Amino acid sequence: MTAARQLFAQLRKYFPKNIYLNLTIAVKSLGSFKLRTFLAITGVVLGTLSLITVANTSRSMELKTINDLERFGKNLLTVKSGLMRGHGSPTDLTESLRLTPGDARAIKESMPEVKTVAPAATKTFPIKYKNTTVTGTMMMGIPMEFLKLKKIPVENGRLFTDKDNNEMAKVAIIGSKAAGKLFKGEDPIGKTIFVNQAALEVVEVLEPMAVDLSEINEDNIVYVPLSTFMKRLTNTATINLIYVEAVSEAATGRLKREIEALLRQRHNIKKGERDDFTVTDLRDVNSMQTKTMKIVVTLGMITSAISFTISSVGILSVMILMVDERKVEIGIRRVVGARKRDIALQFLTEASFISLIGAVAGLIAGIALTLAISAIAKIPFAVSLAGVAISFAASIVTGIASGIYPSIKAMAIQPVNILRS
Amino acid sequence: MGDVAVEAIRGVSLTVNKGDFMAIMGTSGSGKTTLMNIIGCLDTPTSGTYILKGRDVSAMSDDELSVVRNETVGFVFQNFFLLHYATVIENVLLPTLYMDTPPHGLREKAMEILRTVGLEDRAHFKPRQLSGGQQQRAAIARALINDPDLIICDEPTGQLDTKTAAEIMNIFTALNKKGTTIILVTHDSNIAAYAGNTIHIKDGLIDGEFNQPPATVTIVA
Repeated sequence: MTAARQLFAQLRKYFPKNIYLNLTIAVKSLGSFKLRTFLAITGVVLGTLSLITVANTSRSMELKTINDLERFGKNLLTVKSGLMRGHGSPTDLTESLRLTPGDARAIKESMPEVKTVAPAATKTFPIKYKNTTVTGTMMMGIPMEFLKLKKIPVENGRLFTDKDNNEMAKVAIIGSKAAGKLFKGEDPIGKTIFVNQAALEVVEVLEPMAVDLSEINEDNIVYVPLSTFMKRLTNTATINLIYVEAVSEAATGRLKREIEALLRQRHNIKKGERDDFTVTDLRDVNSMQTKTMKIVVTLGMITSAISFTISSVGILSVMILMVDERKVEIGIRRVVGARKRDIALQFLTEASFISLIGAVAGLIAGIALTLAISAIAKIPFAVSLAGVAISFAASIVTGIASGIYPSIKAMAIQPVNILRS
Repeated sequence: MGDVAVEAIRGVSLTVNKGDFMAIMGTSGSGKTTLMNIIGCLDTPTSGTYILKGRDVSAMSDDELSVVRNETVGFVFQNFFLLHYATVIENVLLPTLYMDTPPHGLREKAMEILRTVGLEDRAHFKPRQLSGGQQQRAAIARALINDPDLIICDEPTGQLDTKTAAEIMNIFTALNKKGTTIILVTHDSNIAAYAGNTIHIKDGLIDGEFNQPPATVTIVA
């Protein structure tokens, strides 16, 4: 307690004495209008809250994108069979089944800028363990390279080997969500699950990974070696995904065009005909997410601008009332030597102070809300310094703007008229 | 504005010397408040001159007058006019907010002044926790904080009982003995009796004198 007081005394030494006194008097004068001050700052609180929340969330999304890119590699391209939704007639939505492991090999062999190629196939099957049958979980056939490419770590069990792939081994790696649904707390490693009459031994359970950039929920997937998938589960020669990792970020754009040209040639697609595959650059997905986020940010900015405007009207009316009720105080201050500009400055300071308190409250609430959002949406938590700076600037501007008219009213008060009573 | 010009004071010629204790008496409407406002630099005369400490105040701007009030004049009012939400010491320090370069040790100085008016143990009280006499002592302390050359008291005992009034007037007498020029505005002859000399204002003129425009007020202070 005494230590705190000493520190306070030290701070006061560095603080010009009359600024300190001015502030304490201002705080006390606002203290006699608690409810009004509270109502006036509500708008600033909401404005700051909305601004901080969108700024922080947008920053979190950026961080998530950066993290995702780090995880998948900045140089990743995905080739999907079929057309992306939203192009042409609804018939285009049906998936073309012309992508083959041969395409993947051709990409790998003809392009020196390719580092890794991982063809994969997906299909949804009912999965059975003892008496439990789970539907809606995706089976995915993958080569060894896929696990490297996704940087999937080994947990308690093991990952696939080349031997698994060569022998069409009946082994499976399951995602955490799928494991939860099938095994309900039992240790899945070593257990046998049944998919389309094939008995698969679970060799590994993956850590939760959330939703990846290609919008597949990785936690709800059961992986098997690609050969196992194609021979034992589907018995087809086609696949629907090829992951391509380029040697460098700069090569990614070139590779995308080269792969498109190669696949058009291999699939006999003539000039003017639509591709039966789509090559996606992960950065394109990101830029789409960024665009969506920008809309959210803009909406947040508009909300916050409206709140600040409403709030400035609130502060304006509170300040007008205060000037009116403090005429005698203004008179006394003028008598003891305050110039008109000192009075104006006092009320501008008080208006900004009200606004700044609102900004601090809004900042705290905004950070709390962002923490909650990032916990629920599983995105990294971040505080946008730009957001903080903008909201403080906005609150001070609001305060000053709404303090101008009351200050002019206060300046017009003549001590002679006030002290006559 | 279409107002009819009212001459509150007309041909008042007045000289106040340094160390004077002058009472200005008059009934309400006599013009004594207007005279006090001019002397206190709260108002400027429409014509005539007012010389304060050798400077012509009558032609000064609002800002310049504020500086003069801050540096040269201390006010004590009938209604005390303390800020009710601030403590006694904060009220005393109020004029220092408007000093150009506030010196160090103002708080110590304020405590010293509160000691001389007998309020050192009330420094952190709010005015409403004090009696009328104590509030007026606080107001006197506020008038003294900037070492004024001139103290103007407007009915300083109007709200106080006779005993307390006498205590307050004794403080002024003591201040005057130390050399402070005091102008006391009152309608109470018992209070005016504390002053060294008294002038009576009647209908905007100094009663019993031959007044003629242009008016001049000179305070040597």
